[in-house]
Amino acid sequence: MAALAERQRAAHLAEIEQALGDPVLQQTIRTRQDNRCALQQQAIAELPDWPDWKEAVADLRGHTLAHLDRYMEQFADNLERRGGRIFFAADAAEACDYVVRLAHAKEASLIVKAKSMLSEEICLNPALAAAGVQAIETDLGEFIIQLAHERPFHILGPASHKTLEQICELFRGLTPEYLPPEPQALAAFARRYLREKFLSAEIGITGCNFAVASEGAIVLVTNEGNGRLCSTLPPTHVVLMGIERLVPDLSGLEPLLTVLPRSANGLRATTYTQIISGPRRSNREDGPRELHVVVVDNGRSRILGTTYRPILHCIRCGACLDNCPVYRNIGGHAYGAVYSGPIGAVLTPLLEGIDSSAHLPFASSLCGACNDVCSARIPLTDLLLDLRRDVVAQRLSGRGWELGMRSFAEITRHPDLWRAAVRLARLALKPWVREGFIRRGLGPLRRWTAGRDFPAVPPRSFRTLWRRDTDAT
Amino acid sequence: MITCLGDALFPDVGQAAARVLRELGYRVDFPSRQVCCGQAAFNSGCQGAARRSAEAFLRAFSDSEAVVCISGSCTAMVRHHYPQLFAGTSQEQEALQLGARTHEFSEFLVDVLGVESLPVACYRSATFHRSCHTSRLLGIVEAPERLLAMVEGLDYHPLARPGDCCGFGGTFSIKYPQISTAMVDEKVDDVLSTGAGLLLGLDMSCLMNIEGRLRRRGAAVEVKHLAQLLGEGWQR
Amino acid sequence: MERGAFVKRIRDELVGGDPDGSTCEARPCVAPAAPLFGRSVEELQTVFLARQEELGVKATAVATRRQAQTAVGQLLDERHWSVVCSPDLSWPNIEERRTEHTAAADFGLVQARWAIAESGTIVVDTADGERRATSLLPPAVGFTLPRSGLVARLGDLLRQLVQNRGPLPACITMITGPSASADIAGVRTLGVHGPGEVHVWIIENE
Repeated sequence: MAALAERQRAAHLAEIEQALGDPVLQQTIRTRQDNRCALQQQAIAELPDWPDWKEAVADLRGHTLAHLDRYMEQFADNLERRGGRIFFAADAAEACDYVVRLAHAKEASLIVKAKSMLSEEICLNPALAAAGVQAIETDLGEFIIQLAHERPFHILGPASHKTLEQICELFRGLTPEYLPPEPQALAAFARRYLREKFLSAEIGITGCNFAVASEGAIVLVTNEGNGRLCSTLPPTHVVLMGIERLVPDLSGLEPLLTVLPRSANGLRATTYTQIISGPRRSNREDGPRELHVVVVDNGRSRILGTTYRPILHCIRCGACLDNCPVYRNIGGHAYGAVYSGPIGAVLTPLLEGIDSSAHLPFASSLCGACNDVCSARIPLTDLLLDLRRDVVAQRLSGRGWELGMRSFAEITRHPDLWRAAVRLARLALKPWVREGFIRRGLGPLRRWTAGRDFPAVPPRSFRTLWRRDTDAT
Repeated sequence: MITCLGDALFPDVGQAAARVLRELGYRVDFPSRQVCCGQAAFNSGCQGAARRSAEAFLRAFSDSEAVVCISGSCTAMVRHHYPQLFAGTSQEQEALQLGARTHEFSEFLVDVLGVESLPVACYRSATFHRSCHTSRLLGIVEAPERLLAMVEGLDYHPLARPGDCCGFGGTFSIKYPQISTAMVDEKVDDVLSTGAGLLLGLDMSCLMNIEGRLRRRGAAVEVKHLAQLLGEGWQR
Repeated sequence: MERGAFVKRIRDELVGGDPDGSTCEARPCVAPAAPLFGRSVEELQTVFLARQEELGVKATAVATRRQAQTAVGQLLDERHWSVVCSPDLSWPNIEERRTEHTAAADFGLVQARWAIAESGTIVVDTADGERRATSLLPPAVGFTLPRSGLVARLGDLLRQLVQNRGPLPACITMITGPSASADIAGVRTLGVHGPGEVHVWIIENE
C-alpha cells in the first residue's frame, strides 16, 4: 500500500513538472479555461436568479440523497415495469462482470460506447478487452484519448490537451486516406469511421446523467449525437449509472437541466437530451429491444454515511475545473485518476482510498473559486480541509509537517517564547539577507526562495515597537 | 489583531493601522498575549495544533470590545473556521462571540465605522489584489474599493483579474512551490500590465508572495498593505 | 449484488433512515419562476425563431401545413436530396425522393409536436409514430412544428408530461440545434455524429 502511494505521488509530481514545463500545453489550458468561462458567464448572465437555480439544485440533491434507498427501490420497480432490466453492482468488479457476461450472451464482438466517466472509473474497457470484446469510444474526445491510450484530461473535454496536429496524427493511423490537419475534415472522418461501428455493434453502452425514480427513466445529456446513436441503433442498450444519479420525479429535471448545460458549456440546453424509459414498445418503433441498467455503488454508499456526502451532489458540470487556478497550471493528468480538478481532488481519495491519494487534497491553494461556481453549491474547499485532517489523523503525511505544526503551536501559546523564536530567526537568517530580502534560503525557505525573494525579519517586531511606544508615553 | 506574520515580518502594517484608527478617534489596544490564530496548522490538517494556538488566541482577546485584524485570511479563520474548530468544546460560545466582534481592517472602516472620507493623499499609480479569503469567505470586495476612492491623487488601475488566487495558499507555497510560482507569475504579469508603481492589498501573506516574485523578476513595483497607504498618506 | 442487500447498504449509511418512506413527502421541485418573456403565442414564436437563428438552424414560419409541404419539396429539389420520413406521412410532392433506407438518406423529415421557446428546443417522442433514427442518421434533418405546441420553458414541458399521466414513451428526444463538438482543438465542428444541418418550419395555423 505504501509502495503504491509512493508511486502515485511520484507520478503526480512528474505530471506536474511535465505540464509546467510545456508552454504549448500551458497556453492550451489557459485559452480553454478563459473561453469556457466566458461562455459560462454569458449564459449565466441571462438568468438573473441564477443563485436561486443553484440553490434548487443543491436542495434537490440533498433531499434525494437523504432518501436514496427509497428512490432506488422506486426506480427499480418502475424501470422493470417499463420492460427494462436492472442489475445492482456493489463494486467495479461486479459491474464489469455483468457487462462481460451480457456481451458473451449476446455474442457481441463490438460494443460502441458513449461518454461515461463511470465506465472509466470501473475500468470497463480493459475488462471487455480481456474477454475478447472490442469496445470503441464514440464521443469524439474519448475516441481521441482511446487512440492515444491516455486518461481523460478534463471531465467534459477528455482530449482538450491535444493539439490539432496530434489529433491528426492519431487519426492518420486509422486510414490510408490523406487527412488534412483541419478540424471539420477530421470531424468528418471521425463521423464516417464511427458510423459503421454504430451500425454494426451488438451493444451500445452509455452513462447516465440522471435517473428519474417516479418513471424508471434515464436521462442522457449530450452534444454530438453519439449518445443517441449508442442508445438507438444496437439491439441492446446498457446504461451505467452511479447510485447518486437519482432524481425523485420529472419536475426535478428542471433545475438540473437548466443549470448543467449553462455551467458546463454555456448553453441554454445541450444539443440532445433524451428521456429513455424502457426498451422499444413495439416493432413499429426503432430503438433497442433490451435495456439494461447497471446501478453501481463502488464506494458511493460509504460516502453517504460520512460528512463527505455533499460531494455526491456533483452533477459533473466541470465548472470547478474551468475556474481552478491550480488546474489551470497542471492540467488533468496530474490528478492521477479519472476525475480531475477540485471534484477529483475530493472524490478520488474517497473512492479509491485516501492512502494512495493522500497528496491530492494538498494540491490546492484553497482559493475557493470552485465553491463559487459549483452548480450544486458543494463546499469543495471545506471538504478538502476535512480530507487534510483525515490524512494527518491517519498519519499518511510526512511526520515532519505535523511535528513542525505542533511545535509552532506550542510556541504561539507563550508570547515570550514567540519573541525569542522571532529573534532567533532574525539572527539565523541574517547572513543571507541582501538589501532587506533573502534570495537563497535554507530548509523550508529553500523551496520558497527557488522562485521568490523572502523578506528579512525586521530588527524590531510589532510587539517590541508597541511596548517601546507605550512605555514612552 | 496583528497576526504572527504581521508581528514578525511586517510591523509597519500594524503600526499604520493603529495610527489610522487613532486618527479616527479610537483608542487602540494591543493585547500582547495574541500570537497566532492557528490558520497554518488548520489548513495543514493539524486540527489539534490549530486548536492549541487558537485557544491562546481566544483568551488574548477576551476583554476586547472590537477586534480589528490586518489580515483577511486570519479574520476568516476566526469567523469562518473557529465555530467548527471549537464545536462541542467549552470554548464554543467564546469562539462564536469573538467571530462576531472581529473585523477585517477595510471592513471595519467602511461597514462598522461608516467612514466616507479620509484626509489621505497619495499621488501615485496603484493597483489592488483581492485576496481569496477576504473576497470569497468574508465577501469583502467593495470596502477596499471605496477606501481607494477616498485617497486624493491616487491613479487607480484595476487588475484584469483581481480575484484570481496569487498562489500563496499558506503551506501550499512550500509544498507545491512550482505550481505556486506559476500562479504568482500570472498575477505578476497582470500587475505589470497595469503599469502601476504600487501594488496594494489587504493580506500581507498574499502581498509577500507577490512581492517576492516581483523582485525576483526585477520589477520595480512597490508593495504595501492598504493600511500603510492610509497611515503614511494621512494629511495632518 | 442482490437488490435487497444493495438497498440495505444504502439505507444503513443514511442516519435516521426511512424504511417505509413515511417521512419522505413527495417534494415537487420549486424552480425560480421569474418569466423571461411574455407568454403569448406570437411572443413565444419570436423567441423561438431568434434562438434557432443563434443556433444556426434554418427556421421559417409558414401559415399552413400545405405551405410547409411545398417548402420541404423545394428544399429537396434544390439540394437533390433523398428523404426518409414516417410511414404515416403521405406527401405526394416528395414521394419520388423518398427512401426507406434511413442510413443512406440525405434528409430526415420529422413531424414534431412540441417545442420549448426559451432554449429553442424541439421535442420528439417515440409515441408520435416517428422513428428515432429519422432525426439522427441523415446528415440533415427537418422538423414541422405546430405553433400551438410551443411552450415557454422546460418546466412547462415537464408539467405537460406529468399531466398526461400515462406512462412515458420509450424515448423522448429534445433537440437544440445541430450536432456539435469542440473536442478537436477547441474548434466548434458540426455534424459529429448527428445531423449538422437542421431546418424547422413552424405552422402558424396549427
